[in-house]
Amino acid sequence: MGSPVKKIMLCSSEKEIFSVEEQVMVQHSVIINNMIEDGSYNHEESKIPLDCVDSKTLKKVIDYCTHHTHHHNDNQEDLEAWDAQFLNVDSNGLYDLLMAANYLEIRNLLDLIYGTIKNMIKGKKIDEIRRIFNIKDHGFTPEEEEQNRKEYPHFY
Amino acid sequence: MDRISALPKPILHDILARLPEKDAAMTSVLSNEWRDTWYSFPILSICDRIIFGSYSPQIISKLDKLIGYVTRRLLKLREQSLTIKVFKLDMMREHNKYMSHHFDLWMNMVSENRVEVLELCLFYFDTYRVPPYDLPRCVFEVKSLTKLVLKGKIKLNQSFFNHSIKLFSLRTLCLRDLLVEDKGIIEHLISHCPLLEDLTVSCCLVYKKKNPFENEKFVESLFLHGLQKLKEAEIQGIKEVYIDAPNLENLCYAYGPFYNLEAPLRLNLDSFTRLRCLRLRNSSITEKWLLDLFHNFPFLEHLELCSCNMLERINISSAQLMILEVNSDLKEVNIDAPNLLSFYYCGDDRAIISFLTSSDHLVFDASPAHDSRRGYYSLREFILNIKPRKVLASLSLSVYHMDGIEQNCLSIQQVSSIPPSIKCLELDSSPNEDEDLYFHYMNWLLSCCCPKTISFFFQDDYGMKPFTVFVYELLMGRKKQEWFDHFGDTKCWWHDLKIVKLTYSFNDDEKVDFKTAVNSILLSTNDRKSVSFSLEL
Repeated sequence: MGSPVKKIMLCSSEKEIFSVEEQVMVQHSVIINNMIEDGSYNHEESKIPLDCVDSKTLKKVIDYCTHHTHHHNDNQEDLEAWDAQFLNVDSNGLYDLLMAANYLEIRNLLDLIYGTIKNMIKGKKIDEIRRIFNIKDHGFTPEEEEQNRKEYPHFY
Repeated sequence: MDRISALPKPILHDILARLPEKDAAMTSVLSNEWRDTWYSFPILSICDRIIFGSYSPQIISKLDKLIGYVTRRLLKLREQSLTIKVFKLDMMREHNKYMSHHFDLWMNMVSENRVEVLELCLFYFDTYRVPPYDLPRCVFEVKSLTKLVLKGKIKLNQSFFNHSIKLFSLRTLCLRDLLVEDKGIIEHLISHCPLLEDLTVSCCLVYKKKNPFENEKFVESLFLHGLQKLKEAEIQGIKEVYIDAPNLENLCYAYGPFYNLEAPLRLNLDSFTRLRCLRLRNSSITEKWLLDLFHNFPFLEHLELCSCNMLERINISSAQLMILEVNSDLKEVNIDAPNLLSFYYCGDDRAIISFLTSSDHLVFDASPAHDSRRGYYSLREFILNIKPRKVLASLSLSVYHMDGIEQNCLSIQQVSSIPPSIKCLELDSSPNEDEDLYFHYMNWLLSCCCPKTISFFFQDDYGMKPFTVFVYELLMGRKKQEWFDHFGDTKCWWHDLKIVKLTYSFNDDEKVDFKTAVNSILLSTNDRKSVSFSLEL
């Protein structure tokens, strides 16, 4: 019998508590790794408050870290397919995930989301990107918009 | 506001930094928020070919726009007193007579805004008409600079000698095709960069002030002392080189291509005992020197010999060598390197290549060069001259024909037995558009080797498309009697081949048939697209 798996508690903005394998979070999150290493986390009583991460997002972040800890030996194609499925969310979901990954400093999740947003822009025309990002009001005056279209016709 | 646009600026900047320049620039007209994001983006990468497109009729008026655009972005960053992380300027097109005035203003602004990476690349199409740009001294006073790259028509003046150089943080320095008023300026500059880790000095010219039209001379010598931190160096086109860098791990040295290649090497090569990677080009090294190589460099893992024309045969014996690249015409190559992972040979197809030991993980790429003046191409002999035979399982053979393919040089040996099996056959040049020649060429290739995969690369040869389609139809209809009747051919081993899988290196809509897919490929030298057939007997 090995020793029981060490767990840590994470607390979402709705004060919901999530219990996660310590190793999973330490491996992925720079912030949590630092907290465990410098001893500021007490396994008896501490909960890590994540006031800017809601339960739904936190659950997804934990899913991501857990999958990538236990499946890091899978072949690249399977992992990429899993990631693609994981990021199949609307732009609100993407925003929340990005902010959470940024806060917790989860480097590979950040890279993944950056890549997704990059692909939303790359090779597209202005009107297409506005639709994808749901930009309803570009905030330019009609004269400015006219001027931009004249100046950079190849963008439109 | 939509959520993506509401992301914090540093995050949006991270995303912009990952986009190609054109797409990143486009975000400036997406919306008001994105415009603000763009004007606080601290990475400026200006390339005139991207901004103007490859051809543009009203280039002068566009040049004014470019000047306005760069100045506006720099001013905005200055207003917000933001550090400039990267300023890259890459110009090849027209030059107006006020250009150097604007360059000076930009150099001043980026210097004041504590630029970290500065790259100037000025190679003009119309190079004789454009005067060299006098680099302002302020550039050498930027303490925050970690990387400085200067390439092309840029001049370093005599006055740099009497001026303080404060590049205390500089780690990477690249000087390529510059003009210097005094040959000592480069040494003077480098001696003031104590943290230098990566240095490139390539083909710099001494500028003649009195008579700039007189033939310029290359900087012929370089003596560098006390570069304790230097890990990487690339030196090209300098006759005599001495570098005191005990920790150097990676060296690329090209002597020529302008000098007498028979002259002995004047470089303190043997003092770099910690070298891991050594690349020698156009150098007069000898077989005897190569014998001692691995004794002198006990850590050497990567060796490249390119156009070292004094060599005829090489013997490599090393337990730590992992990568070997040979790009010279050789008669014989003997390799005893149990840990070699990658071997590349490009040269005379009469070379005899033998492995005394080899790793199971070896990747072996060969590009044998034909000389059509010699008559028959000797591809088959080249393959048969590789020993032992089991190495062929890791061989990818790239066959190219610079001067076209001549049918009378294709000697097809009508052998009923299957030729040696190799991993891959790579083709990037096609015969002239002629079905007879297509057929003979493929028949010849397949009489030389039996590849597991055949890949067709599309780069700049328009003939590749019809050729690939022909091969596809040939292989698909290989059992049809009409082929043999048409070409008067007897049955060959490859008529029984099965195509197992077709793979495209680019996104392809599966519904499209092969011919349409191949014909829709855009030829591009930057992005080599390919189509591969996996074959099985």
